Amino acid sequence: VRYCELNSAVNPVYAINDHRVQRNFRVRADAMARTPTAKTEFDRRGHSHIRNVLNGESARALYRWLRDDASWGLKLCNGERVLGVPPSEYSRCTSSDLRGFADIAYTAARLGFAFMREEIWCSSATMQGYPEGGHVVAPLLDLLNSDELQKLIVAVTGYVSTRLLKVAIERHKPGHFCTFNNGSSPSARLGVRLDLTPAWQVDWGGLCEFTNFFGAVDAAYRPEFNSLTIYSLSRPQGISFVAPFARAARYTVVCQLAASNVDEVNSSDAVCSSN
Amino acid sequence: MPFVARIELSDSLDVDCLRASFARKGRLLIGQVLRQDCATALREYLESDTEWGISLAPNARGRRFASAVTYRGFNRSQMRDVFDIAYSDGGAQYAHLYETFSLSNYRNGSSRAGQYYAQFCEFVRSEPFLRFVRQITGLESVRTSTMVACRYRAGHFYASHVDATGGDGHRASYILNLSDYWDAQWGGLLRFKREDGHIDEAYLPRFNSMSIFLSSLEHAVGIVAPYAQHARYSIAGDLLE
Repeated sequence: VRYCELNSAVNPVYAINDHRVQRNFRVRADAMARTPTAKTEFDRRGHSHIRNVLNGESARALYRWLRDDASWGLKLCNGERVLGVPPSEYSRCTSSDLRGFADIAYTAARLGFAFMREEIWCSSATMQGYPEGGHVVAPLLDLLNSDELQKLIVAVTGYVSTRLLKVAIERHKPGHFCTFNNGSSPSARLGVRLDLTPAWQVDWGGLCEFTNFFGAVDAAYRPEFNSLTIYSLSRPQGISFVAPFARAARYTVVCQLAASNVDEVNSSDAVCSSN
Repeated sequence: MPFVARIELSDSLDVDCLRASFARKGRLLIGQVLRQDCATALREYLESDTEWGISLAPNARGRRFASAVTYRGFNRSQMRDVFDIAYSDGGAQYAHLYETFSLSNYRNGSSRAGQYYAQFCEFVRSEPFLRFVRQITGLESVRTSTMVACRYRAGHFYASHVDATGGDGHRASYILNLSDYWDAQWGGLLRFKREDGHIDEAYLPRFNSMSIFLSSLEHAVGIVAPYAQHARYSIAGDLLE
């Protein structure tokens, strides 16, 4: 099986450009009203979880696309390098190939940071090949960049300004995992997970786990359909190993965001005005 | 193998603080619970001088057990069957797979390990330990306890369940963690759910720590990942009226 080392040119993590095609996906009208409770939790623990964040049809449409129409490739990290198997190759992988990839990821996990999961394999260039509005990624990016979602994130976190840096659309199946990490973008402060998994048992693993100062897990969120988990990247988080007996896949849109607080915005404004 | 002194609680335990912690959630994790040399000796005996059988179940029914003698003779096909059976109901409540060993029925009771296991059995039924449990839990009716050693290796787990089966005098449970080192990302954490189905807290099985929790609390041991570098050793038991 052909796999490649990923760099910025072919990395399926999207560089966020302005792909404004159409606005199909919307935040629920009442989501903003639930942010005070979420903010309290974020302030106390550095992470927060909001249920029913998109309107029902948006969430269902996204899930249908992820389940039925998306092309998935494999992505794994063996410590220093990120390796990818594009969908055309991945669909031809034998069980022996998959065991080989798992061995690479599991060996790496014994030594340090590692992960293995499926991602939607799509660069900005390939996105352009889709008929306008026919591809879900563009309106999804629109949703993630939208004022209504950004306002919600600001309300929960207390930052006054946020900016999307990276997005990945992930599918975790049995045997997949991601060890604890603080995000891959040096300038990222916040992580956001939009979960689109319709049904999940907590015993299947695949939990979004947060560690405390002592290296123990002090909270974990199970996948929950149409929920948003917002967390500070100052504390390590990871996805626990998905059990071989899990009977579903875990679908998540994962974002990393830059964020500024009041002081930083003010000092930035001061620099701009002095120039 | 060192032959060490009597098994005793650590003399640094703050009972008042532990009682307050237990009162908040009906559970707690106590660090450094035994004297360090006692815990070290227990771990070394478990690692080197133990005959592990295996316990498995796909759900609340159909629990199976293979004795150490039988389990030792399993070929690769039988080992695959063990996993297939345990996984067959998708990790339903009470599904489990782990290796187990009865401390009180150790056949080589005259060996040093046997003598030490017998001493441990005596310890967890002794008044000092039971008084300690009563003081921090407030469960004045606790009068005795059970004990079984457990080893979780890659792929092993215990799905969500409650220990109390009703009318059996089971008030609380304890787990004494004896793995030398454990990394949270290896899985194998003792998880407690919130009412909304998410995880409130997951105890890391640190060496010589003991979790004590009400037997009415739903809990689980998460699956141990294939990249775990050690086995997870513990001694678990029921605290009974």
